[in-house]
Amino acid sequence: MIPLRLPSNQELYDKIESWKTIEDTLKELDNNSLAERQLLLELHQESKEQLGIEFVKGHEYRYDLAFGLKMYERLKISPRTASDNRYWIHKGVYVVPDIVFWRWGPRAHDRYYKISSRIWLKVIWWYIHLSWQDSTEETFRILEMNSTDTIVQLVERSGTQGYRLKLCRVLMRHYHQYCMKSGKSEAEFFRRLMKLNTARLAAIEPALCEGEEEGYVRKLFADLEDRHRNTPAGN
Amino acid sequence: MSTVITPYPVLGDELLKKIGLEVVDYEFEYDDGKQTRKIETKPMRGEEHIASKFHLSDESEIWKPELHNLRFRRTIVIHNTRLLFGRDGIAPKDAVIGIAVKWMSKPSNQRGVFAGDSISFEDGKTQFVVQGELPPGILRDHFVLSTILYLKTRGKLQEGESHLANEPGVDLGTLDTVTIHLTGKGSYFPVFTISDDGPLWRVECNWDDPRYERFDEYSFRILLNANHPDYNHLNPSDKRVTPLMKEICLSALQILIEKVIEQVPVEELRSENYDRGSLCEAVRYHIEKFELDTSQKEHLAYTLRKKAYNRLGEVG
Repeated sequence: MIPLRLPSNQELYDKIESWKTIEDTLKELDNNSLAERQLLLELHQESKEQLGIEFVKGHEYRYDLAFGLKMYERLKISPRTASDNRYWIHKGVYVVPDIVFWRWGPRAHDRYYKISSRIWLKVIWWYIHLSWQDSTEETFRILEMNSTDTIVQLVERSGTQGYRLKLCRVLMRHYHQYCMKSGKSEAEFFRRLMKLNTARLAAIEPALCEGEEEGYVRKLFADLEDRHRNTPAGN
Repeated sequence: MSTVITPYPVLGDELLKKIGLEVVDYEFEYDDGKQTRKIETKPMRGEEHIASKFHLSDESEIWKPELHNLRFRRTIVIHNTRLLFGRDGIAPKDAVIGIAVKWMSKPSNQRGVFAGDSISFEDGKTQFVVQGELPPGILRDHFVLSTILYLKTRGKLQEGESHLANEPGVDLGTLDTVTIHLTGKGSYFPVFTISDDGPLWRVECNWDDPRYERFDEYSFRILLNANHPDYNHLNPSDKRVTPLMKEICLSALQILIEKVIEQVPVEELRSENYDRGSLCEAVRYHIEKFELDTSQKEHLAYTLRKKAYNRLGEVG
């Protein structure tokens, strides 16, 4: 459920800064929110166990991916709900501030509420949604080699008018295939790819191209690979 | 809106006038589980003259964006389709042009496109239809529909046609754009009410890079404090905008403009190196609409109040 109120920055700031104990959090939650908290804590615990970690340092991406996939599957929310910041701000600031704190440390106000494109729970939900390949296993497989930079490039740096869902999913699948060739994540290539994609989208609609999104993405990769070969230093 | 400079001609105002375009309003319907129901559209209050901002008006009040789909149908008449083709047009004579409707829902982070009928030089058809359907759980607040022409099938280039676009998928220009609000309660400024021991009003600016971040209620908002003794002077329950409310909106707008042009100077704004829907676009729009003098802060304050004071409509 989305709370109708959008608290002021000051209220959210004070809430996070004055957060001391789990008991403070529990006192203020209604039954729905308590159930949500329980669920998210379980997913958090499962993710940590799966990765065999107690602290996130050095495992940020692996944790984001593991927790993101579980949350995406279990929350079962629509894109309409997932684009409402109030939904995520409520979760991050009031329901599971301890998980956000565990992931980002103190004073990461951007990740709780402050910058719309950085609210962490929202960002990882969209990362999974935009990369989804029909099953958790397959989605995990194509995302496994990426890094937190991939999340930033895909989710935070996409156009202001909204995501083209099918295009993102096709693009992420092809990017995985590209990485498989070299056996490693190709962050610089991905950055260039997103840049070229943004430039092309100004004049081309991928869904209306020959071969639709698949055809468009193939050509995008082919053109960029050509350029990459010709300018290996990244100039 | 950021201007795209293309190496090929696209539909401009001049050609648009010549082709004899007639557009019919969008028709909307949805399935309520038992039957298909129509939804009317009405112009947004105060925007009747521009005929591009509408809201859905479901008299039965059944339609809910979370639960129901939304189908649309758009009919377009183009009397002189042949002018779109050949040397002075936008596509080779031998190519096929498609009509499509792009939908963009900034508030729900999604967009897409629906392809419709095709136009070719020879067939002489004048009436075209585009239809599309959005599933439940997609739309929020408002969405934009743009009817565009695109290159559907490439053609064999004839003499004098080498400058024309001939790559399938290329956007050849926009016939028209409308904004559809899900309800009739839109507001120009993102105004919220809070209740604390702070001042009567404040603005919140949450952004890093105004060139790419959206102008919306999260990046910029005005908060009115219902707990403040002067709150009643804002006439919150009345539709009429009080002078105090106007002054708050103008001061807030001034803060927005000053803060953005500190990061992106006005000369850079003119180069349109920013995303559509971004804070930069909003600021440039206001500077141009109200012919604001941004050279000094006091000049900005003066021109903003001189030009914009009487043009602030209903704030809700």
